[in-house]
Amino acid sequence: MSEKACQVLIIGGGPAGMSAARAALAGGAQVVLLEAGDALGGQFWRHLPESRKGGEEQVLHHKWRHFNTVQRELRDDPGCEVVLGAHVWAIERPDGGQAPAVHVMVGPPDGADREPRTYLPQSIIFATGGQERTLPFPGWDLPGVYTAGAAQALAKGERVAVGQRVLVAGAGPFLLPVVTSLIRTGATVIGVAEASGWKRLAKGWLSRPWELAATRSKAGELGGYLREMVHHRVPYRAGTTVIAAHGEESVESVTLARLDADWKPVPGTQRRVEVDAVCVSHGFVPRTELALTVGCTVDAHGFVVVDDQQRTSVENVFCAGELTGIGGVDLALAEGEIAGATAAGTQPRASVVKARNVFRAFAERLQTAHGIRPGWQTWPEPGTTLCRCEDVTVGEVREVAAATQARGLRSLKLTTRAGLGPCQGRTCGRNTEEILSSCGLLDPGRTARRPIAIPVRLGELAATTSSQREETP
Amino acid sequence: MSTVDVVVIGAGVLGASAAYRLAEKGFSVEVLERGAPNREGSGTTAGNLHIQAIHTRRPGQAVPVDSRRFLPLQKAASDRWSTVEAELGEELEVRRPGGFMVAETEDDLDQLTTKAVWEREVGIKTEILDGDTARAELPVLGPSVRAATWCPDDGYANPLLAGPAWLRAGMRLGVQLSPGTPVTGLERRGEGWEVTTPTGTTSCRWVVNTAGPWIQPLTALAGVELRMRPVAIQMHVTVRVPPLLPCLVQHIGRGLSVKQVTAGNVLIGGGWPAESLDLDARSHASLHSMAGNLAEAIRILPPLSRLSLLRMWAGPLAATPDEMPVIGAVPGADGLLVAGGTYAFTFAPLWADVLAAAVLGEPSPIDVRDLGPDRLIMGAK
Repeated sequence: MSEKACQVLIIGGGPAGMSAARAALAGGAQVVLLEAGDALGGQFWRHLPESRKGGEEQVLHHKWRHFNTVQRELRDDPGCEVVLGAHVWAIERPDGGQAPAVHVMVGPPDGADREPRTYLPQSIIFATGGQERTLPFPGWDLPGVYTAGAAQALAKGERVAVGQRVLVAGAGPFLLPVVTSLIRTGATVIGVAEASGWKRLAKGWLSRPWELAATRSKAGELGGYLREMVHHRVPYRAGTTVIAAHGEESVESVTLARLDADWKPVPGTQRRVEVDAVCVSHGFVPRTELALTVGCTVDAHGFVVVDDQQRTSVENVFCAGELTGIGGVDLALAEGEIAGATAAGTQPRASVVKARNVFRAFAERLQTAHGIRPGWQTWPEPGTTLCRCEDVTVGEVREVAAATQARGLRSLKLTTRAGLGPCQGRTCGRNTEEILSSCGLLDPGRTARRPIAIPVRLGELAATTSSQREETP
Repeated sequence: MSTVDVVVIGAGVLGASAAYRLAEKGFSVEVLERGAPNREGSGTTAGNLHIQAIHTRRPGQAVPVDSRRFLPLQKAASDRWSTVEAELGEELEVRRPGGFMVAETEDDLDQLTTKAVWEREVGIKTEILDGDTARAELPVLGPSVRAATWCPDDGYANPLLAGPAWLRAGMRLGVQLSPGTPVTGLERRGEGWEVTTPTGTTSCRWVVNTAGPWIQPLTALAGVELRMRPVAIQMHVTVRVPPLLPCLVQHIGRGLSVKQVTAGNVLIGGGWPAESLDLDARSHASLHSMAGNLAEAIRILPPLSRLSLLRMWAGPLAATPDEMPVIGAVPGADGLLVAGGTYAFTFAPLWADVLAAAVLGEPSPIDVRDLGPDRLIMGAK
């Protein structure tokens, strides 16, 4: 296993990580950029498979030209090493100010011989992004129920529509580009159900409208999606969501219900709608497992706390993008640039600091308008699956929490097995935490805290022993 | 100020089983727990029931366990565990699939033969198999295994169910549980003790200190310094896989203990030291120990190599200088008893009986006079 010192190590090759790499290079730093996938771009700039690449790739992508420019710059800069297929599985932070050791397996995840590497960086920038959060409801695990992100990936990456009569439900502006992608791949979108009501949407989006002028590009992007929706006569319902999906082999219909301000269904407002696919997305959660491993402080919502220079609570560790708050690509690009410049020991441009502040305010509007409300906990029935990997139901978790004196998150997780599967709680972690917290935890905690960031084969791990430090006496 | 017969300090598996047994004998009991019940060593252990002689030395352990002295205790604990579920009326996932203890070197073989003799002396049925016979019985064993002993009584229980079940059973008999209540003072008052916590004082005749890694500082509150120190060891667990390993596998000369739990995950431990011990939060597992432990595991059980590691964690245990358990009355502190040290999970039901007998003034169900805290005392007040 090779050990390699470097100046700035960036983990995550999406918009935030690429922007950070570019700024750190501009500041004269030597940069290593680690990306787990087989191409830069992250979730936002997702690619067509190599075999089907064509000239129309930019059609479904926002800021595609900017992506190409940055990618080219990084590729051509001798100070930048881009490592694709790089899976960070652990980070050791030694005492006494030494460089942290970032352990990486390089190669396809299911490949036989991945190359173990260890980087010893002076600074780390985490740009590991976020992932969709889907709230459980009866039938959410039926075939035909997709996360909006999966539907978007199929549309962007494979040009495949998930169904013919599709309903899009959840919360937040991300539902809109999904509608656009579905329409462009030939699906009929029968409606969009936004869980937040008009009152909350107005509070988030219409207060202090003069501030929104600064985020014209963002508003323009959303406006484009809205125009397309209107053009295709897709009805948009606020304060409404899917609270159940029904079907034998796959989804055949859904139950829609009006929601109150806390997202509790209003009695008497339920109605059935026939569909052959549903796309749901209730928001995004940050992928903080690595940041937590090195000890970064997070806020009450689980986002990493950073200062004006994107510094975390841990010395020489920075975060950019969705890790610090869900704000979309513009915020990620700005935060990345600030983190990269600062990590290289230079001052970030004043204009980008200003942009970051503007887009952060935009992110706060997003939270005000669309943030998840606790009433979702009334949607699942006792038999509704909570953790799909381990097949644990909401009812089982509540029963164990009520029956046991061991009111710690960890022991409840281990007793119920919720969050213990191969996804390591990434899908159900926050839902499990919230359900258990409402049962009154004595010892809360975060399911994202784990010393092994991703599952790695024992053979590969055992092989790292040869070049580890000397045997402890 | 409240008054009870016995204050038990620590709601781990030992405190829970002792509190239950004492309540059953008619004593009023309060359990004071600094944090959440069953969270530290008792919630982080693999939950093995070690009946055949164990590997005598954790990696990094200075002194070996005295296996010969241990074996009669293990036999008694084995018998005791066979009635625990019926007694509590709860399913604790007690399983006795048996276990192999493997040997690779000449030295391992010597140890294996010697301990098998001792096991027969105390009535533990073990069988010595040569490498090929062992591989015929358990085909996943690797080529480096030269011999193995088979003990049909080895097994495990679910450590997340056992402690809480004893606590619940105790509470049905009137045991009071106070979680989040650290003991800050331990004063001798007349015939008994005054136990102080941030929320008040409890007066009692007996104090049972089953606080695991906190045994030493708590006994020090009563003016007695015991030579014990907490260490943290770590465990590793793979993804769930179809049945692969029907029994326990341990190594006589190396820190290695492997089993596949009911859910299908393979649990790998063997007492490897954690990176750091943190008694205020969760201790940090060491990548170095992880790699070392996993390398042993895949040498003995090569098919494990392709399984993925899902999680690892570290938990504390209370170590004594001679690596033997500590149980009994603290000399010079009448009415103060301690129980803890190595293999507390295996010994939990047995130690509960011993402690209850000591409080009642009855003869001990098993001779543990040589395991008392007197041997660990640095100087009494």
